Amino acid sequence: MMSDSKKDCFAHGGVLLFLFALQFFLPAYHHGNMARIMVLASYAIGYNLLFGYTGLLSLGHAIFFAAGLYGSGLAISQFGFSVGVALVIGVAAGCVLSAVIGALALRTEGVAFMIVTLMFAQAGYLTVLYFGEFTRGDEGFVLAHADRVLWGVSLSDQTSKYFSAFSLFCVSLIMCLALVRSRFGKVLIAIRENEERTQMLGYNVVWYKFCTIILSGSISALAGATYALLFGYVGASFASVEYSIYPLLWVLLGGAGTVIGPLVGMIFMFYLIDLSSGVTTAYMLVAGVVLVFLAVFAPQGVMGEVRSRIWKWLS
Amino acid sequence: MLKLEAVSAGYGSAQVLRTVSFEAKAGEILCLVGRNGAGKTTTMKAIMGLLPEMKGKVVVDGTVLSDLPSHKVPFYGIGYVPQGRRLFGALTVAENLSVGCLTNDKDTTVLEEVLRVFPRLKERLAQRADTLSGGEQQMLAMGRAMCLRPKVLLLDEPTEGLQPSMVLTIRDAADLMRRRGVAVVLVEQRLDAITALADKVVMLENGQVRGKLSRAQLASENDRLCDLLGV
Repeated sequence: MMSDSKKDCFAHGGVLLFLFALQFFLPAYHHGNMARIMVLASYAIGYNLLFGYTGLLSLGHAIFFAAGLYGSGLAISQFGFSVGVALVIGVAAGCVLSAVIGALALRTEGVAFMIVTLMFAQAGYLTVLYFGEFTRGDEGFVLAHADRVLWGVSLSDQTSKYFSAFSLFCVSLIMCLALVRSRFGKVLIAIRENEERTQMLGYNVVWYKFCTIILSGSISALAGATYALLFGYVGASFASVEYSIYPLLWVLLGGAGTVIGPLVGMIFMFYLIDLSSGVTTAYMLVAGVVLVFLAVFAPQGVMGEVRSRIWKWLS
Repeated sequence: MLKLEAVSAGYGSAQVLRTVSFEAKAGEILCLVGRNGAGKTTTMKAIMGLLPEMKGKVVVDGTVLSDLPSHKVPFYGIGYVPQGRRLFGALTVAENLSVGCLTNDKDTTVLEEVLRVFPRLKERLAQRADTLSGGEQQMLAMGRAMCLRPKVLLLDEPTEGLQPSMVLTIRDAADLMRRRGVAVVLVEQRLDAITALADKVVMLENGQVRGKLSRAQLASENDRLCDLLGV
C-alpha cells in the first residue's frame, strides 16, 4: 500500500501534470486566463506560507507583489536591463523590503501586526504615486514586446506566457510543498497552533517568523516580477489595498494551510466573477452571496474540507 | 539541580509570586501544592522565563536561567508539560515528538525510549494530535517533553481530568523520570498522588511559600495539607 507521503507527492504532481497538459486543450481565452491565474496563485502561495502555515495575518502583502512588479518593470523601462536581470532585481527588491518590514512588524502581534503591515502597504502605494515621474502613477506603464524577450523567446507569445507562468507555479508549489513537509514547516505549523508552547521547546519563534516573512515576501515578489514580464503592464493598482485583500480571500476560499488551496481559491474566484459578469452587472453581489455560503458551509476552504473529510494526508 | 532564589513575579501590575524559594534535587519529585490562584502555574512560567517582569533567580546546575531569553531555557535541560497539554493539534503524533526533539536532534534513541514508556503512542504515530483521547494527549505532552532528555521536568497538573488507568500511567512515567535522576517539579491537587509520589512538598499560599514538608513529614502534616488543598 502506498504511504501517505507518496500519496501526497503524487497528488501534487498530478495537479502539475494536469496544468501542463491543459495548455494543449484550452481555447485561447482560457489559455490566457490560466497563465494569469497561475501567476496570481503563486502570489497566494507566498501569502499562504505566512498566513495559512504560520498564522500571521498580513494585510499588506501587495507591497511585496508590487516590489517585484516595479523592481523588474523599472529595471527594464528606466535602465534597459535584460529580462533575466530584471527578474532578479524584482525578487531582490521584495526580499530586502520583506526583511525590513518583517524586522519592524514583528515587534507587534495580532491586530497590531495587521495594522502595521497595512500601513506599510499604504506607504508603498503612496510612494508609487509620489514618484509618478518614473512610475507613471495611477496610469502605470507598459513594457514593450521587444523588451520582454528571454533567451530569444518572446514572453508575450501565448505559449511561452503559459509555459513561463506554469514554471513559476511549479517552483512556488514545489518549494512550498518541500518546506511544509520539512522540520522547518512543522515548526511553522507549531507556531500557528501554539506559539508559547513552541518557544518552550527551544525554538526562537521570532526568528522563524522573520525567515517566513522573507520567504513569503520573496515568492510574492517573484510572482509580481513575473506578472510584469509576462503581461507587460506595471500599475499602481497592484500596490493598492485590494491586492493585499485578494490573496487572503483566495487562500481562505481554497483552504488556508493547504499547498494547493491558493490555486483552487484563485480559479474559483476568477471564474466566479468572470462567469457571473457575463450574466449580470451585479456580479459582485453574486460573488458576495456565493462567498458567504462557502464560508458558512466550508469554513476550512475547499481543500481544507477535502483534507478533513477525504484526503487526510494532504499537505 | 533547580533552585529558585527569592523569585517575585506577576502579570503587569498584578504581583503573583512573592520571594518564592525552593530547591528540587536530581532524582526527586517536588510537589507544588496550593489552592487555585496560589501561584503554582505562575511559578512554572517563572522557571521557563515566560513572565515579563521577574525578580530573583532561577538557577539550574549553576546557570542562571532568569538571565536568558525563554526559548534558550530548554537547552539547559528544562522540559515543561503545561496545564491543558497544549499540543500542536494539526500535527501528527510523530511530528509532535519530532518538533519536541530540537535540543536533542542528534540522539536517535530518544524517540524509541519515549515510545517504550508510552507504547500507546506507537500505535497512533500517524494520527493527528487533536484526535487523541485526553489520556493519550497527556502521554504525548509528556513524551514531547521527554524528547529533550530533561534534567528538570515541570509537570503542571498532568492527571487533571483523566480516567484512573491513565492517571496511573502518567504517575508511573513521573516515577520513571525520578529513577533516571531527573528532578521533577509536579503541580498536583490530588492528595493520593502527592502522598504516593512526593519526596518533598512546597506549600504555596497567596504567592508565598507557607511551608515545606519532607516525605517523612507528610503523614503527620496530613491535616494541614488537606486544609491547603481544600479537601
